[in-house]
Amino acid sequence: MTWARRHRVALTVMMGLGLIGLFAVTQTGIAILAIARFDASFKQIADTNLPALISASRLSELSQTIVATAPEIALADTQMRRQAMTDQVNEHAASLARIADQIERATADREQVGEMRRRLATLIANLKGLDELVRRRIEADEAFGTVVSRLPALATRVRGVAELAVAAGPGREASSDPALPEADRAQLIGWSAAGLESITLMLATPAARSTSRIDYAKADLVALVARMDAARQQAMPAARAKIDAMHQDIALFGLGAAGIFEARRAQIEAGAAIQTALRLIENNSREFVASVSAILSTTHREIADRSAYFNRTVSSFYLLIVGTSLLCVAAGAAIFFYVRRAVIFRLTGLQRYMQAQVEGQAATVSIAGEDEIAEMARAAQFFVTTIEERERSTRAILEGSPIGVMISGRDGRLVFSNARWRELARVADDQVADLDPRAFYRTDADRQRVARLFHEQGRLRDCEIEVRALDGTPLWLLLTMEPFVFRSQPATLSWFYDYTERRRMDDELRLAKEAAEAATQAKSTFLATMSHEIRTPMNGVLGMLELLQETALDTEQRELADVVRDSASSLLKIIDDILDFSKIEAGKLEIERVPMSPLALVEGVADALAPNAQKKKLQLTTFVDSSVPPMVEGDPVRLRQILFNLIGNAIKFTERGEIAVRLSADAAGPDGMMLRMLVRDTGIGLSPESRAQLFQPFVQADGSTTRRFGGTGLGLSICRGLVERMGGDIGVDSIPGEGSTFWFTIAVAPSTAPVPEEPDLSGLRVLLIEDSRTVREVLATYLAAKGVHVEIADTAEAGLDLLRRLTASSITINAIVIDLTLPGMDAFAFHHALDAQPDLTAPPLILLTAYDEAGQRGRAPEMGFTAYLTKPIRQATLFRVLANASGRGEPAPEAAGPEPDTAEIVPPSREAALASGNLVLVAEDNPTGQMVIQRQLARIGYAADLAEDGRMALECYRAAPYGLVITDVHMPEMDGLELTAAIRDIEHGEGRLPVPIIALSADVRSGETERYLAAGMDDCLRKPVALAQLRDVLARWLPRGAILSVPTPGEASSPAARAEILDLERMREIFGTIDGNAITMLRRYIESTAPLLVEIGRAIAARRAEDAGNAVHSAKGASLSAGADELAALLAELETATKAKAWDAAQAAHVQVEPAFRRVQEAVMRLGAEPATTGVR
Amino acid sequence: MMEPDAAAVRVLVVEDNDFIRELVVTMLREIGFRDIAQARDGHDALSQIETADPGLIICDISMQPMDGLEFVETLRQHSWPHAAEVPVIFLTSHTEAPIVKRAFKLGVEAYVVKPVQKKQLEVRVMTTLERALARRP
Repeated sequence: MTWARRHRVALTVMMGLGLIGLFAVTQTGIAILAIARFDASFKQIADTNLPALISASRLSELSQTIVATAPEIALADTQMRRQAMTDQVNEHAASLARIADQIERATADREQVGEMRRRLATLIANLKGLDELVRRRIEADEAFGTVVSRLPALATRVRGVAELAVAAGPGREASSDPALPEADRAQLIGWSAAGLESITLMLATPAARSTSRIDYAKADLVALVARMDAARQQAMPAARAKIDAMHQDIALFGLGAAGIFEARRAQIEAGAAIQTALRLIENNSREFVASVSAILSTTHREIADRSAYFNRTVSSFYLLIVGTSLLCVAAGAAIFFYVRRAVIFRLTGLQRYMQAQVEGQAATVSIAGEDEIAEMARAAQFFVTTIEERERSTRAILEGSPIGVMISGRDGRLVFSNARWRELARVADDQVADLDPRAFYRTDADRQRVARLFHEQGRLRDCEIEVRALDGTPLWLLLTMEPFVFRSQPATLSWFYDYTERRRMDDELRLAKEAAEAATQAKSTFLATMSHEIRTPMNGVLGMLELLQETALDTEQRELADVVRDSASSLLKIIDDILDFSKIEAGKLEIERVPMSPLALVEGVADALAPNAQKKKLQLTTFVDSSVPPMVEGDPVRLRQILFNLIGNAIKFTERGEIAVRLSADAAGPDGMMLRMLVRDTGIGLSPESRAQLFQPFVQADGSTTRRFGGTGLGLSICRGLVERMGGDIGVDSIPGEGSTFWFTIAVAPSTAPVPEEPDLSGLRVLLIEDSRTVREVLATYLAAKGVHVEIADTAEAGLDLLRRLTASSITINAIVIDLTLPGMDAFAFHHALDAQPDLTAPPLILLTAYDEAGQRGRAPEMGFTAYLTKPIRQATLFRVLANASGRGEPAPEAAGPEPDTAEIVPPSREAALASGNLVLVAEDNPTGQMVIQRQLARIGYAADLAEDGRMALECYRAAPYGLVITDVHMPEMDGLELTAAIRDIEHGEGRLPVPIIALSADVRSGETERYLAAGMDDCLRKPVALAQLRDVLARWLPRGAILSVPTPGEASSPAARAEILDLERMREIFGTIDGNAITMLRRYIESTAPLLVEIGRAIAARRAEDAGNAVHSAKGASLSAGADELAALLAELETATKAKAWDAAQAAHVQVEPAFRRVQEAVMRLGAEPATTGVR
Repeated sequence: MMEPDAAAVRVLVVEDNDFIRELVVTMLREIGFRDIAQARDGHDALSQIETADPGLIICDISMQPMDGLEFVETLRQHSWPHAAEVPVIFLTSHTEAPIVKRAFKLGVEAYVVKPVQKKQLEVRVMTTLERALARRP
């Protein structure tokens, strides 16, 4: 029961709604019922009553039609017509019957239906009767007609008889009938007259209108016929025969059953009967229709009944529906009032209560009752209480927070603050009430700034701001402000974090950082400055020394110069080391990443240090494992530096034995691989203690080594720094007294740079005679990797044995590689021995020599050695030499043998250089530097103008067209970069061709080259500048300058030996390809030169020097231009001879000219005949 | 700065060797010159200088009977309006200092070394023409 009480409201409402629902349902039921009934009745009417009505009217119609048609039958004069009409009528009758059936179905009244049926049957019967009567009548008509039609003919015949009879009377001549007695004639005439009378009588029949008349007529006829008969009887058979037929006819016509009288009688009777029948039919029809009407009226009654029924039903239902509707409305109203009282009022009260809570006003609510609303009231109250509690605990949290919290209302006044805020603001609890927090801003500007930020962003986060507490204490705060709603009013929530202490620490840190950065910057600047300052005088020292060494010095002077040069070089090295070390320490060392060949690098360093090794009779070998790719990306300069250091050290600290350098690669990944280098020596070794400290700076193995070997001790520490920068590691293994192995690893990246081709040596067989195990291993491994079969012997004697055995087994050796110095028999002796044994076919011999055995080396070709290799052996050289020796190789371009002799070059004059566009402009402020560069340029064959600074250089540039500009980067007034910019400006503005500008710099900072290039310079020379470097750069940027340098006489090469008959390059240069134009040109040359040669011949013969000289000169120029080098060379000789008036020599030279010219002619003709060779543009 | 238009400048080539002269003319055509006059020696050149009225003269140093230097000396005194300033380029087989000095004094600033290379000729000719254009008032 309590359940019901607690849900009273719900239940009540449900009940009320249920009631309404019930009424509605009832209404619906009623409506459905009404409709159903209506539907049934309507069906009834529609399906039966109405059709019946329709049928009835149809029926009546048909009846009328029949009645109307029936007379038509009577009127028919032929059977056919009769039949047609009858058929028509029968059709109608059949329709009638059908409709009657329909009506029968529609009516329940059997009696009436029976009546109708009977009447219908009667009607039909009567119609049939009529039909029959008419048929008879027509028959009669026909019969009558037939007789009547024959009567005239008969009459004529009868008359004929009479006439005949008359004719056959007296006074007749011969008649057709001679035997006709008088009596007969009288009978005949009497017969005939009677016959005619009969016929006349018969003809009058149609006039008879009643059967009685016909009877009279017939009686008359009978009398007549009797007379006739009597007459006939009295006539002679012969006469009788004539009239028998007629007589019979007459009798038949008149008295026969089919006679005219009977026919007429039938006609009359039939006619009467027909009339009767028609009247009957009419009656029948009326009766029939009446019976149908009776039925119909029944139907009408039925319909009327139903209508009345409908009306009744509808009215009653109408009433019911209205009634129930009213009930519904009443119920609804009742519910409404209840709900209003029990629910709405109370809910409103509850809402007001909640509202009051929100507004912070005190309110109460009634919680009496047990129903749902009361529950809600209780819940609301509980809710409010809980909220109040939560608010209290939140407030407690805020109060206890270490962060100052303050809420200010819209007008800026303080509405809430927590304890911490008051603490920070130095505000006592009782001072809070009237506080304007804006007073705490230090300045108006601050306050405005905060307001602006807050306004722009909608909030403020961690704003650093300095404020003043109430007592004036300065504070640094992190201020956060958020828009807020406090007690349903817009407010601002502010958080204050005391930042003062932190800020102080931040400041200190910042100062320390700045100091550190300044220190690093100072270091960098120091490095750069020192580098520049030191290198500039070093450039002077080393440059001058180089030049000095190139001049003619006596032995003592040369020694002194060498020593000075060495010292200067060492000094430079030390400076470089120090600078490198500083860079590493400062973390400023840059590692490059360019394509490089590890093989070439290692072999190159070994080559460079080979003399040092050789001096101490140490064997230096290099080995590069096949796991090392031919090209990688790394820093070759730094790598070289490390190798120089390690190998140099190895040489330094080894007294005897060998130094082996080995390069291999560790597993390769997609990003690259680790290269591993080993330098193994057989030196003094290192103790474990020394090893530990070795890579520390300034430490040597022991103090005594410094004294013995010099050096700063920085080398290894720099190596370590470099190696580590390259992502690797460095270390040493050593056994004191036996030797040391220094190793290091670096990371390199794979390179896609193209790899030079190597000759194919697969399948070759080589005999290697070498006593050093290390060298044997290196060579054997290199060769085996290329598919070469290597036979090994460690002495010459063993080699000979081996060769004998191999030859005996029919194994061919393609080449023998033999070391020069072997224990016992040396290489030359071996060669002799081979020669002495004719049964041994000597394959090509390749000599292995150590670097410095120049003297021995010179003997090699004479001694029949095909080639030689110097140790340390370069892999590429080994392959090439072997390929050549065994016939697999292409002849190499001039191998790297001794360097081309630097001929004594005389630089051109300034004017000459200027005129041909090869004058150099040098801008350098240091006097020593000026001297050095000028002499260096002169040495390599260039003329130069000197400017002391950028400004002067610019003036010079404006005044003359220079072929190249070399400028120091650091100069007073205008430095190299500014000069470059100015020159490029001028060029751009005046449309001049850009002149190559080379920077001269002492700066070793990385990135400097890029800076120069970016400023518009083309290349860079690092001080101190070596001659070779300068030569290379100038050759690159000012190639034509070299032409002008005139080699001093005595160095003339003999071009004739090498000259071509017809060098097509000349023509190709001009025409691009040897086309028709080029050939035409060459033909022109032949045409114009031939007469010149004739003139030359004559002039020489006549000893006319000037004429000959001119002609020769002209022909020589033409020949050179056309490419007839051989001829030109001969003409040059001829020119010299002619100028010197050496006629014999001239004659001799001239003799060779003719055939040479012919050769050129032939060459040109051949060109014309062949299809043009395609030149390359 | 005006780029010298090769097609607009008439060049006079003075060279006694027929082949070399034709070669130089061909090269000049390839470079872009359209209007090229030729002379077999100094006399010939001087006689046609007024009618030819070239903007540039290319001339061999070693010719007979009048060599290149004599020709230029005479030319500079000529009555032809441009005689003193017309740019001249020498063709020469050698670069003897005294010859070059004399040439310089005569206002010959450039020379091309034989055998003549097309590229060198082009650069020399263009630079000379540029300078000449720049000097014009």
